[in-house]
Amino acid sequence: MFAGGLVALAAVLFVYHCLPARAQAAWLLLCSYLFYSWWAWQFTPVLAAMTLATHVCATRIAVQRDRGRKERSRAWLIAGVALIVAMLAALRAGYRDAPFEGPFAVLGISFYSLQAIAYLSDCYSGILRNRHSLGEVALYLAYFPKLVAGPIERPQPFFAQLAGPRVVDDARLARAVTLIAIGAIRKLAIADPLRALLPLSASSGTAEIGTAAALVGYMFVIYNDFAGYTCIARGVSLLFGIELSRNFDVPFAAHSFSNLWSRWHVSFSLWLRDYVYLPISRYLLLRDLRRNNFANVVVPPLVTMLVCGLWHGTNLHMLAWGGAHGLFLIVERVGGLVWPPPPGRVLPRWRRVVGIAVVFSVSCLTLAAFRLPIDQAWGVWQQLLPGGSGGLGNVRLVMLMIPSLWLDWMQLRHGDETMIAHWPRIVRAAALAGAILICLAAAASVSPAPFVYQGF
Amino acid sequence: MRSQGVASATDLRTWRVTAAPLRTCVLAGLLLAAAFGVAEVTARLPAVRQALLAPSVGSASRRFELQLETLDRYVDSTGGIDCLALGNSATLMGVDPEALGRGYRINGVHGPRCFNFGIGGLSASAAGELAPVLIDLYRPALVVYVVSARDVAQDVRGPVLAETPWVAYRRGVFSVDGWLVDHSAALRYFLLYRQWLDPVRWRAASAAPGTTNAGFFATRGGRQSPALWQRTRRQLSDLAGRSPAAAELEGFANVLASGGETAQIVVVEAPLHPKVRAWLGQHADSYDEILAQLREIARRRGVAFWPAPDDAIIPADGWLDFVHLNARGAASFSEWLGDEIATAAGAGELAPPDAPRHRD
Repeated sequence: MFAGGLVALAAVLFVYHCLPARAQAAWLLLCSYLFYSWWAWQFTPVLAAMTLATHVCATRIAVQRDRGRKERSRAWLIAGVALIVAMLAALRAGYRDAPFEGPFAVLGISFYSLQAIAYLSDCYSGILRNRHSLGEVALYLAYFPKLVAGPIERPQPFFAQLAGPRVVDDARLARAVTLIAIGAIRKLAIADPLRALLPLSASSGTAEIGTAAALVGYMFVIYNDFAGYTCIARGVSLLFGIELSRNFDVPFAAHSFSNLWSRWHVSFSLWLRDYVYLPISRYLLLRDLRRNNFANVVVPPLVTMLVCGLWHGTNLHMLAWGGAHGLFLIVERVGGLVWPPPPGRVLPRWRRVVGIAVVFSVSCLTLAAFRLPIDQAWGVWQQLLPGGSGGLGNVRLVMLMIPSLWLDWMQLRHGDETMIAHWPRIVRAAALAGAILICLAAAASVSPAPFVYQGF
Repeated sequence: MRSQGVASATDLRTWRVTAAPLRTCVLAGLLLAAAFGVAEVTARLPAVRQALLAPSVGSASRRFELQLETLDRYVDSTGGIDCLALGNSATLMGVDPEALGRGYRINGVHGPRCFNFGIGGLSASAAGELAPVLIDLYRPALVVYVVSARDVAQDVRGPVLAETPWVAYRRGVFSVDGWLVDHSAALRYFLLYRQWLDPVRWRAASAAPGTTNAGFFATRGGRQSPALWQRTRRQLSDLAGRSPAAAELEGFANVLASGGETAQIVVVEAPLHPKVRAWLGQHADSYDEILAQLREIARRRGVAFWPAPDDAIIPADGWLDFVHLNARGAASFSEWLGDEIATAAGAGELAPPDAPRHRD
């Protein structure tokens, strides 16, 4: 299947670069729908219907906006968003118990529906001035490298790239291959072996791995699985000359929760900020102009993180997880108001280190609620108390975390995860050979698992 | 697609990659090939082989792999084997090649170089897959297949060696996996050490073989408690209600046919604990019926089928439990077996396995 996928990608790429630009977009759209149909053919009509609804609403929004009819434009926006949310909620609720049942029935809907909302909203706010054809909107929603699990692309940069020449030169190819290699290592050589090592339910530790170690391990699994997927998606997209946005920026280096959400699942965080947080905040500020009024400090982060939790799953524990992160953001904000940081000063190193440790530890703790129903999560937390089976330390776990930390450290140090692409040829070749070897060995050792986020 | 930008971009060539990335890829390919070469050479160094655990051939039975490696080392040190004992755990713990040589020397001139290739739970079907592979690889003059009724009528699925690509490849079914394992020592070590990621599998994979250099798993003492007898009796009752599976009988026939021009096959009934024999005599006709079926198959193929030795051969303290012999019992049984082989060879029923023509 993997080899078949590679051959199909090579064929799609070959045809793509032989075609003129206009036909390239049509070819990408055709391939994207074929790709989606191959994974979840019975939900292709859902994608098509949402695309059509988005296009119709966006066109009406733009027409009314251009005629100066703000209220009618807003009505079309509300209608469009309500329709998309209703489709998303209905499908997510219908497949809540078995989102992975085959073929992945709700594949990608959580991602492309957010893009549809972003598109309507940007049309309404005027960020998108040009109207786009149905084909362009369809490609924006269905573009196959990001269709399954993002990144959640913003409309403007995507359409800008669609309008311009999508050139692939040596530098881009090198970046693409580097991203794919890093993604494959994160997924095949770190996330999958770690997942195989951890207890299945995460509700308790095992003789080999204590509960605390299991939680830390799961944090690395989710991060490397999702970051690996995103790297592969970005690398594949670069081969078509389209740059997708970065989704992770060394999240384990986050020294505060607001900092964490600017590093973890960045495309989703930005979407939440622009389409949930800021509208609520604007609404509240219109009623009370003081920036730090109580409602504006509490409501936007709490609602935003509750939406974040609901997006991950319409369960109580996901809501609790989102609510907890909302509370952390509120506490941080209040703390910032009580003890404002000195303007223009970088945090002292010790505060950063303490912040990193606190954010990482608390994130790991809340991960129990992310993965498990509340009663089971409660059991996990109890095991972490003195006398529980919450021990740390397993040489395999540590060995698998080291490459992840090394990749993060390199990214942190150089500011770019594709820094290897700039190294001397012999080093690049050795790195490529090493990546192939590691991925082959890992894939032959542990059965590859589905990507975590393709179930959301 | 009506946006203006797209229309203006139609004349642009979008793939502008030079030959430089290709050179990097070629270099990476060469480095990969070099890495594989170095790994292969290293894996074949005797010192490295001594230092590492027994490699894997990708099977589900670690005992099978341990026995293969032990046999390889045995052949390296002795120059070959004359006689191979094949069977389940009763063979693994019940055939002491050294004692067999002693028993054989009572009548024979030389002591045959014998190896015990017993594997716990080895069913007749699995033995039918394994025997031709071992004969083809190690060319023994004699294969002693120690069989019991359990081997053809057990309810536990033993090691399914036929599903191992390497075994299938050695049996003539080509597969890339099988070919690679057969030709690459480095891959065999990789197949072992990749299990490090799984603590449970690794514990089993890294356990010491516990056998002598001739493959014999010696045990001491005995534990024939009433509780164990109850369990054994339940197993015997279960066995008494069974008839041999067709696949197992076919496997048994395959063992008999595996000798070809190369090796002689002898079937020996595994020794029975007196208590088990007595119980079977009172409660189960099926045991004798199963053995009669096996005997008939052997007769039709012209293969000798020797019944289990009398109770007097195995000392009362020669049993580990009600199925397996301990080292003392194994010595008695093996001496008896060696004597039987020597007697048959002397009578012209078997070619002497230690005849010089069989020596490498």
